[in-house]
Formats: sequence, C-alpha cells, structure tokens
Amino acid sequence: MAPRDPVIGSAAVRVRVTSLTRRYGSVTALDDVTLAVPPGRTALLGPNGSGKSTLLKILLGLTRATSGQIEVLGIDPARDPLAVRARVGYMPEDDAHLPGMTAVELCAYGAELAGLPPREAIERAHAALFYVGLDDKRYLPVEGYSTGLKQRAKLAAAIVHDPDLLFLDEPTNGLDPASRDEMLALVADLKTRRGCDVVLSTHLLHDVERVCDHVIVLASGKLMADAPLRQLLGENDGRYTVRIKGDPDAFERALRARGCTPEKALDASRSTWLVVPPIGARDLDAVWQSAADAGVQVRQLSSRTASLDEAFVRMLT
Amino acid sequence: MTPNTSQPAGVIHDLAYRRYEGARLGAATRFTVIARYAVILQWRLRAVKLFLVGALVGLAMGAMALGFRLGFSRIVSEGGEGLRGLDRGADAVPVAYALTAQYLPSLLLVLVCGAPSVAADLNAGAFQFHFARPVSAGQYLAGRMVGAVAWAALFSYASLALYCVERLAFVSDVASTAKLLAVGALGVTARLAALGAVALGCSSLTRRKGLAQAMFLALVAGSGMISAIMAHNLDRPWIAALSVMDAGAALTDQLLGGAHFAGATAFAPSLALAVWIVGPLAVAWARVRSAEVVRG
Repeated sequence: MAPRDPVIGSAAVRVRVTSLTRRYGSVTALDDVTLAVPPGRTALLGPNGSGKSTLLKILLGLTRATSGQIEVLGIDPARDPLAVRARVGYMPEDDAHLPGMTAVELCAYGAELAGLPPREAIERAHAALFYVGLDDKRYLPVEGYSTGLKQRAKLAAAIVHDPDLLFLDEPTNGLDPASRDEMLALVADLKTRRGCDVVLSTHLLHDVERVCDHVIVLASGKLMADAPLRQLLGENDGRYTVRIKGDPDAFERALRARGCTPEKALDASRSTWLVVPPIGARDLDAVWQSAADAGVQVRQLSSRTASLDEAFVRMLT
Repeated sequence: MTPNTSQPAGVIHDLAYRRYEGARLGAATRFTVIARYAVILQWRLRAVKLFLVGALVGLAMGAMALGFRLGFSRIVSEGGEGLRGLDRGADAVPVAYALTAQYLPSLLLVLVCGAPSVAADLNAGAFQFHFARPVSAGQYLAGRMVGAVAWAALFSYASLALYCVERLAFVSDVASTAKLLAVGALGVTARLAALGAVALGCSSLTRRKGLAQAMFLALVAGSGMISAIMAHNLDRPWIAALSVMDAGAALTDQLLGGAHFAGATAFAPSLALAVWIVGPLAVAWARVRSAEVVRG
C-alpha cells in the first residue's frame, strides 16, 4: 500500500521517514521505506525480521541509515541523537533496570539522565509510579518484581521525563489478561491525559485494535501499509456476511450453483452465518436469488469488515 | 467487524499531572548523575563499608607511623651533619606513606565497586536504560569510571591530605608540603585512573560480575607480580614501575627524586600509565558502542 502523501507533508507528523534504506553488508534491513507517524497512537507491526527493530534504532539515533531522510519531532536523529532521546521515551521489551535500584530510584535516575533537576526528578518519579499503579511497591528493588510489575516500572521510567513521543516495544508481553488490560488502558491514556504520542511495536494485533488509531506494517524491510486503522479494517474485500433462517446446506448449494463458495460459521447464539466471497457485479442479486432457491430467510446481510488479523495476513501474502 | 474504539478498562491514578516546562540540565552533567547513583548503590554493599572501615584503621596506623618517622627526622636534622645521611629521602615520606597505605584499600574498593559495574549493566539490560536516554557512550564510561573509583578516591585523597598536614606539623614548610601534596595527588590520580580503566575494561568483556572481578584481580596482581619478579631477576628496579598499581607510585617517586625505582625516568611509568588507562578504556568503549539497545 502506498503511503499517503498528505500525512507525510503534514506539520503535525511526529516521525517522518523518506526513502529510508539500511543495509548490513549484503542484507537489506529496510528497503526504501517512506512513512509518517501522525499524532496519536500508532502501531508498528511486522513479523520477526521485518525491520521494526532497525527502524526503532534509527529513530532513536542508535544507528545510522544507509540512505534516506529521517525526522523525529523535527530533529534529525543522525545529526543530534541526544536531542531526540531527550524528547522521546523508550520502553524496551526486555528487562532494563539497574541492579539494586528501587523503582523510585530507577525512575528518578532516568529523569535526571534526561536532564531534569534532582528535586523535580524525584517528584516526577513518584508521580509516574503512582500513575502506572506501583504506588505501594516503589521502594522495593526492581529485580524482585514480577513480570507485570517490571513492565509497569519500565513504563514509568519511560514517561518520567515527560517525553513528547513514546516508543513501546511489546509492552504487554508476558502479562496476564488483567494486567494486560491495565497496561493497554495506560497506553490509551497517555495520549488522552498527557498528550504523549505513542508508537506501539507489537505482535499482538488485538492490542493494536484496542488502542491504536494508525497502523504501519513492515515486512522483509519493506513498507506494506501506513494508514489509519479504520481505513485498514474498513477496506471491504467485496465479501458479505449473511445470517439466515432455514437450511444452511441448501443455501450453500444454491450459492455454489452460482459459482460462489461460501464460508460457514456458527456464532455464539448458534445462528448460522455465511461469509460470501465476491461473485461479480450483481453480488446481492445472487444472494437473494440463492436464498429464494433454497427456501431460506435472510435475516441479516452486511458488507464484511476484515479483522486486523485478516488484513495483516492479506498484506503479507 | 468494526474497530473497538472504547478505552480498555483499568484504573488510572494521576496526581494532577502537569507538564514539565522547566529548564533541562546540559549533557555535561550526565556523567555526574551516573557516578552519583553508582556511589549511592555501592554504599549499600556490606563489603564497601567493611573495606572503608579497614582503610580507616590503616590510615590511622599510617598516621602514627608517619608521626614517629617525622619525629625521628627532626631529631636527625637537629643532630648535626653526621646524622643527616641516615634520613635520606625523608621529604617524600608523607606521599610514600599515603601511597602505601592506599595500596590494598584502593585495590579492594575498586574490585568491589568498579570491576562488576559494566558487567552488571550488561546483565540487567541497563545499557538499554542508559542509551535510550540522552547519554553518549563517552558520558556513560566517564560516569562509570568515576563511580568505580569514587570510594577509593575519597580515602586516597583524604589520607594524602592528612599525611601532608601531619608533615606540616613537624616541618612547618608550607611550600614544600604543597609541592608534595600536588605531586602526591598526581600519583594518586594516576593510580586510580589506571585501576578504574582496567576495572571497566575487564567488566565490559563479560556479563558475569565474578568473572569480571577475577579478570581485574588477575591483571592487577599479575602485572604487579610479573614486573616485580622481572625487576628482581634482571636487577632492573624500574621494571616494577610498569605494573598497574605501581606506575602511579613510580611516577611520584621520579618526580620527587626518590630512589625506589632506580633506573627509571618519569617516562617509563608515564608510558605504562598511558597503556593501562587507554588500552582498557578503548576495549570498554568498543564494547559499549556495540551493545544492543533495541533488541530484535
């Protein structure tokens, strides 16, 4: 999918990448990638080896692009990586703490490293830990935390210096469902309450559907999509969902007679749904005619919207 | 299916969040932050407290011995020309005592505080913590270096200052004592820099703190033993000035005209110090620069 030029040209864009290529010897990790991260919550999706980590490294100024232009919050990370890192937060996927440090010390340390004065750093450390729900455990060493608490401590450390943009790398990894819900609530809240834009790198598409409003998909170093989530999900592939009352097998046979192979599914209420693939310019006529031939009643007929899983798989195949 | 636009459930606490709009401190302060937090964490180690108490006992005993030595020097100087030959090199005694008194405590404190520092960071993912923030590899290493030798430095400079003050009480010569203090401080700084650099170099090579400490001890003690054996067997005392611990002492010895490392010039210990400082730091620099911050 081609990137949308109006977004790339917009002044509000948080990250702007133009014709970015990164090669490691003969391996091309990123191949002529052009994308834009708008304000809000953006998902960075892609299978292993797709170039997500390389892109994050380049955006944080930790490695240089082979070619192309990059701007993060209007700053070129290759020229001034420290200025970029002062204004962004990064929550890594793996453990990232200092042995022996309590959560409050870790956060205050992170804030001071980002340039906050010591008194302000300690105040904000307490506030950030309270925000992520670690209020009663903040004086315990981080290495003794459970996975869920460590994730919260990492998030607090990533936001303690008030970043304008936050990169989250698999923030719900290893969390139980309740903790995952709470983490996603925090991610969603960051933009709403703190005005902090978020780039969420994850494999969990359900997380993306719940909190993100823009999606970037990379595969094998190439950009596959850069679009609002609604646009990706709303792109109808021509299929319809039909709920019927009557004999589904007869309806299926009637559809097949018109050259259409439907998928059959049962929902929670045991109603039969059929997903009807595109069958030509007169799709709906065919559905009605098949229903009449089979003697079934059509109770619901709607244009089918893909799940993100389906959209993702479609992009990669 | 339509996207779920509702916010996920979860309790969010916020203490009347306000955006930080104040000034941010410059990049030059980063290494002091790293060093300060390192020192705070080191103070929690029982070994550090134990070694500091031991160092203070040694410092007190050294002060008493120095008092006797300086008292003897005064008697000799008042005893006329005939006795003066018995007390050659007495001027440099406070510095020599200070460097001797610091030998073991400095080694142990850097072993406990400095040798595991980078290894522990590698093991705990602290590289990701540091380098995702506005911290350069140079600032990180400078902070870790200062943190590695901070406790040893506190004790070393304190003992040097105490012994120089003690000399002043016996000799009452401010100018020569100030010179001793300056040259002694140079020697102490050189020794600490070499120790810190070797500690960081060893520490950057592994994730295992124990292995890093073993490498550090092997290098420091090994260089000391080998150079001492070679100096003795080849009858060239200046070779002993090439070890990690003795290069700084040899430098002060040469600058103060001492005879402990006979045959050496200030060039030999200076060169040894340069090697011991630059070499391990270059290794640590390369390791830090190549560390993965964003894994994947």
